[in-house]
Amino acid sequence: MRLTLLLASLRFYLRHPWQASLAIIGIALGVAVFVGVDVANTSAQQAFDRSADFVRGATTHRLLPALADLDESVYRDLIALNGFTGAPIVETNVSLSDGTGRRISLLGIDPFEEAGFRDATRVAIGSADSMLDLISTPSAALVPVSLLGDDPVLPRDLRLRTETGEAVLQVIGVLPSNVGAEATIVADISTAQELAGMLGRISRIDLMLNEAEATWLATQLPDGTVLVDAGNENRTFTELSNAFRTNIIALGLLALAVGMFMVYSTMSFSILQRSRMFAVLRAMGTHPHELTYSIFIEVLIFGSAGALLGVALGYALARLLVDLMLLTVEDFAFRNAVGISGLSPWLLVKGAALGIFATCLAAIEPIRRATRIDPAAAMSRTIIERSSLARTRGSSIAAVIVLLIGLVLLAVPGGNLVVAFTGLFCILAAAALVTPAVSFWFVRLLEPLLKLASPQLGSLAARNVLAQRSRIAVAGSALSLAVATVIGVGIMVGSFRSSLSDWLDSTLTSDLYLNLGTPTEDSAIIDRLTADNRVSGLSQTRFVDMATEYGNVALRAFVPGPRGWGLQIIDAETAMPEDQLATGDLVAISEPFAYRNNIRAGERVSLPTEAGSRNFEVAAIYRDYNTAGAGILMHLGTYRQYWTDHAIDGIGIELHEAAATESFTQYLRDSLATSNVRITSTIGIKAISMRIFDRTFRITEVLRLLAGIVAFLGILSALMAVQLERQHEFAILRSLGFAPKTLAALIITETGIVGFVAGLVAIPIGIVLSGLLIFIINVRSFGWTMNMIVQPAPLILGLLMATLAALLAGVIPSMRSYRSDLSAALHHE
Amino acid sequence: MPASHIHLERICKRYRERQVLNEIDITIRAGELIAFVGRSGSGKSTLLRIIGALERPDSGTLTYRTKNIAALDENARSMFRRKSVGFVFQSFNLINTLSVAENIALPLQLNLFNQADIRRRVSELLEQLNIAQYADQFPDELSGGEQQRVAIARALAHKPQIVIADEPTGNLDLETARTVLSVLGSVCREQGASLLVATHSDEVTGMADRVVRIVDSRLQTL
Repeated sequence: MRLTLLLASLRFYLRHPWQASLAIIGIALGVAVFVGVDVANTSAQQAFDRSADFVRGATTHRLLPALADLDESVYRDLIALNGFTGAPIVETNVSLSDGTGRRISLLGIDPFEEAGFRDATRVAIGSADSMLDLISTPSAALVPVSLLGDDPVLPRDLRLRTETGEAVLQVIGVLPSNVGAEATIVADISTAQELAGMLGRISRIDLMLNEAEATWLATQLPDGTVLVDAGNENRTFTELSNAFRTNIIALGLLALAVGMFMVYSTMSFSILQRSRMFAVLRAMGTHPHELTYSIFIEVLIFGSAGALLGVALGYALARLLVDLMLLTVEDFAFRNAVGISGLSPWLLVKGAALGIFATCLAAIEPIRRATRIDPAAAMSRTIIERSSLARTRGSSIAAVIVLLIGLVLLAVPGGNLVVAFTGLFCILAAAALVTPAVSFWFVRLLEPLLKLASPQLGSLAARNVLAQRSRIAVAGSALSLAVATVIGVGIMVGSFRSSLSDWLDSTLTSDLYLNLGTPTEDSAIIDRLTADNRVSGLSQTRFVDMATEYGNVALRAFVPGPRGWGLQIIDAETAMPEDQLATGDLVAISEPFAYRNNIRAGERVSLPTEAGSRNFEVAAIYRDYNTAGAGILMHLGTYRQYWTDHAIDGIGIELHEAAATESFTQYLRDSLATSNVRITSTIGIKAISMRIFDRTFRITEVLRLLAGIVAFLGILSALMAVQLERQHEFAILRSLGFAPKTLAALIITETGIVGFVAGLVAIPIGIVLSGLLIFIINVRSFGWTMNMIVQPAPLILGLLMATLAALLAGVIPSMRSYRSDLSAALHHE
Repeated sequence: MPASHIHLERICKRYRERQVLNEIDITIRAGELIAFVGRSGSGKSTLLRIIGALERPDSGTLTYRTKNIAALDENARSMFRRKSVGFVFQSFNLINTLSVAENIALPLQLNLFNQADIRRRVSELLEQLNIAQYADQFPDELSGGEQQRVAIARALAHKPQIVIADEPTGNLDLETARTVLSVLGSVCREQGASLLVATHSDEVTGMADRVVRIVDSRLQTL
């Protein structure tokens, strides 16, 4: 019996192959996007973890300088003399002198103290004893295999540009590719000190401590140093990358949700088509659970086929997504290190299970409807589609409940991103539930206009759409939802881009910026620029990466030029907080730093000065898209009061005539040609920033597009199915004298109405979605707020996309009605 | 005269404001052929749906072999239909994605007959209804008369005690209708099944043991 029912279902789909194919494609695309994102995320995370593990090795704690570096004597006096297991480290970034200028990390180690910390450095390929060779060979280095290119011959020279100028390392060995060292060059500590211009200084001390040792050491720290737990050190980075990954996964899930709509739509429609069969079976005494079983098997077959196809497609998609993700990573060696992780059985199981689960979930309601078909309907000539009014009312109640759940989840304190996304999905689900009712209300509104536009077809087309509502409602909702996503993400990206541009305009107060390369106390450049009559003013900056109790903080000590601080103030105790910065122990903190540490204006932040920890009052919180993790700004005078550091590493130049920027840049290039100074114009910085922004958001655009494609196929399948099923009705219209052209126009007008209305409904949903993304998701992900700017372009694009998809769905049925055999179509109902 | 096996007592049914059946009492004997006649919308089909346990009456009892069918839950009603009732519909209601033989086998499979019995019974019915040549064809490849024969074979396959036919000849020409009715009547008689037919056809009323008219939602025996 069950086999017979299954056979009947399979033959139904053999007779309607496009319906089965589109259901499978829907779920396959949804699974593909999710699996692709998952593989890409896993691959990038594994590479990052390997790199972090390699550098961290067996380190439990790190002794860090509050400022740039430590004196070597700290290691000798505090660590070695007290018998702790520690290793001094110099870490710096260098650029390759191969024309590309690509940057890579240089790790300077003491081979004698390295034992137990990073054993992977001991097994370099091409060197008999890499530790001994590092010490005995001048400028020796171990490099990742990606740096060797096609020439594996060793030893060989590697040209670099360092803090102190050009340098040549001698490559004596290659670090194994499976230890996570793909992003690092390893050298002896003295070589690294020389290259980094840090003679007698070290970047940090890696330690292996137990709890008691760590507690004791924490009480003995010299001023200006911090002891941190190695495991927590990358907390901010991990939080940020997690937030980025959560955003990407959410988009992947959205594609899967749209795929589920397709399954729901296909199953609903196929059950509607087979209503009479189910009614007859029920009349013959088939139990509802027997029907459930039979349809469930059918769903499992779809789900399995879609999921397997999706996993295969997803794996192919992963490469593209990895490339897009890595556009956001500057470190080229790390980028090379990210390979696609293998197709693990776990991934297969996870992808397949998710696809099958999503398909079953989407099919619950259609199956429930099938089993509730009244057996008495078998004796009716026509099976009336069950009260869509009742369903509309039920949907509205469900929408209100889901909406309330979503609002509660979004209001949950604590800033959990997953909870926020769940809330967002609830809001979208609520919107999807009320979309059919709103859409058909729109169609009723449009009807008089359509009648005016075409007296013969307009009204008939609108009425036909209303008559078919139970068949096209779900597909219409799916289309609205996907288009709303396209609109919402489009507005969010546009708003972000515009806010970033505004922020750059207000922050970049100077016309030109000099990056001095190496921090310097030499005032020769300042004096020369001050004396130049083309210069109207200068700003001076000292950037310091400071280890604090909040984690690593980018401290910017600043003397503004005549054009001021250029801050976009988000929160301040007074009207002009910038004026206060120059007068007392006050700081301004970046918005992400304030958000993550829940600090408000007027409160205090503790910073490790050379005289011990000191509290600074927060005068203002400023918008900062540059320092994603944490940024603190103070006046250079305040900084020099607490840290004996009189160097600067950046100068902003304000010119009397902005038009003279180019000629002044050339003048500076000529006069500073021999130095390490980099000159960048405001326009250049802005262009680079916007380029990085566009690169970062390319993956969002691609995923948004994929969700759109899934919805496009959804509406195509659903509308095509509805129209193809109406061949009998079309034949009646033709027999009544409808010309083939008129009929084709009617079909296309109908599908066009559905698409246009879906697009219209998507606009308010998209705007609400963008608001949630901007004001809740982005704040929780990155701590950034931005101005919401609704440009007409994403709205028009969404409307066009929906209308075009629906118009295309009408093409095949209208062509078919052109060619159909009238008598055969009239005969078969 | 065979013993009574279906008894309807004070059956009432109302659709919104309209009383369709009012205080219906009737006893149906095994093997009896009853024709229900009346104007369109008079309640013939409603009455047959109630007897076939497709619909519940608002009040009254429907007794089949001492059981009140009207009071059963949906599962028990499904079992009653599965074992004891066969339906012949005006629009045939064959499953187009199953072959003729598979359609006929369906009630046998539902009643858990073994494969050998199913094969034997299906070929017997194919022969009896003269449709053996269409066994492997699909219903939508057959004419109306041929489809109705298949529907009759399917309704009788599991040898139900009650066969309900709602306007079984409504979609057929006179000659085909006559043939179909004669087959339906003779096979039911052979099996001892009660045949209850809603009809406008004089052919049917001519063949019936009893003709019952529904007027103003009440029964009149002619």
